[in-house]
Amino acid sequence: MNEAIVSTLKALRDVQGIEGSFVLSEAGALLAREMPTIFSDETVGEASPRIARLGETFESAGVDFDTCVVKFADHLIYVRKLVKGFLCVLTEGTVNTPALKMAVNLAQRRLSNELKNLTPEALAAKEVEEPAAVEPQDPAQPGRRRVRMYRGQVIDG
Amino acid sequence: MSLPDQKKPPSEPGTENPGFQASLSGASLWDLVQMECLAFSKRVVRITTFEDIGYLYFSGGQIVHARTRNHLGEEAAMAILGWEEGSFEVVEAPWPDGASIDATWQSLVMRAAQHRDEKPGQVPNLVAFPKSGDSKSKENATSANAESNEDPSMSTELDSVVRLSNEGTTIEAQGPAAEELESLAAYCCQIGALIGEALGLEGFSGLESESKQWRVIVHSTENGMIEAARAPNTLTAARMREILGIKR
Repeated sequence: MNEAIVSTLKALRDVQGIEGSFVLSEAGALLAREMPTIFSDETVGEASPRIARLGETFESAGVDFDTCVVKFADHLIYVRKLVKGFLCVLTEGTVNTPALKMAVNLAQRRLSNELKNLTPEALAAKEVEEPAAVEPQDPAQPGRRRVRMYRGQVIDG
Repeated sequence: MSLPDQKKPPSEPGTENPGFQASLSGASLWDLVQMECLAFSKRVVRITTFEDIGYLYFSGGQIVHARTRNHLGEEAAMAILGWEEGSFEVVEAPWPDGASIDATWQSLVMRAAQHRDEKPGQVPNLVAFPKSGDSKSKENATSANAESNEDPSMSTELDSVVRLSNEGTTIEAQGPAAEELESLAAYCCQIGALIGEALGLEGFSGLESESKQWRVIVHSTENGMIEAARAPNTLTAARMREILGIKR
């Protein structure tokens, strides 16, 4: 994983309410992450191509995609278009939005510079195969739904 | 049912047809319906309450169409006629392609009265605004908390607005980008929910996008409907949320 990119992502944590961040290629390949350990590469990789596809969706509808905030009950995912990729920031719902935007603006310049220098092979290196949108199963107990946890609490299942 | 010659927006009182303007404190909404129908007027009346906003479309001595935030046709008319407090004003609004109400106005009012009889002690208290768009009306509208009850489809600040059912049926679509916005909203809501599912984030409620030219808000409402709007980037996200009635 590119150290310069990870270092930039770590700096985002200075803003209160930012819980983690990751960088995707335009195709949705996970290039770098600075996320809580509870989010495995597989988990982030499952969301990544869909986040990239949001950008494609907007552009196909004739709307340039610069930033997008995906809203959940207690969290936001702030997505910023980069040169050759996307920066995704996971925040608490109560994050200070102006501070978040400033931090993302600063990170965006550095990250775009880093991505410009990556080879096409590097940009595709960590692409995770997107799973089908089916009900997840617990491999240990076939027939039962996998239990999802976040911050030590069962989210569903 | 066809609605001939109803595409043309109704004229504002005082613009084409000079006449009296009135502010009727204590007037009932049913009085208004009776007056408009007996006068065979062709106009749209907006009714604003503390919690909702609705439109009654009068033509040919009947209520031919009605809508609220969540209802259309007869269901909307019955909901509006059941409102007990608020204000009304004549507005310019686009006419529907066809009538959505078959029942006569007398039958609607009778049924509304029956419903009201089941809830004794409620006295209608509707105040008519003198004219849409003048400063006094705006003051009154503000005092009635109308700012948070704006109907997005009536807003001139938004470029395009769509409203879809959870199944993707179009309930309302207006503006030059309505078609693209419909598909975008429906798809983004599904993708957004899947992103949340992948990351264990509950309660997907929508998304907001910003580019150099446009701002787009897609909102999944509590009753399962999807609302989406596009506006020039000069309009703030906060203002868009306010028009769409989104809290955060």
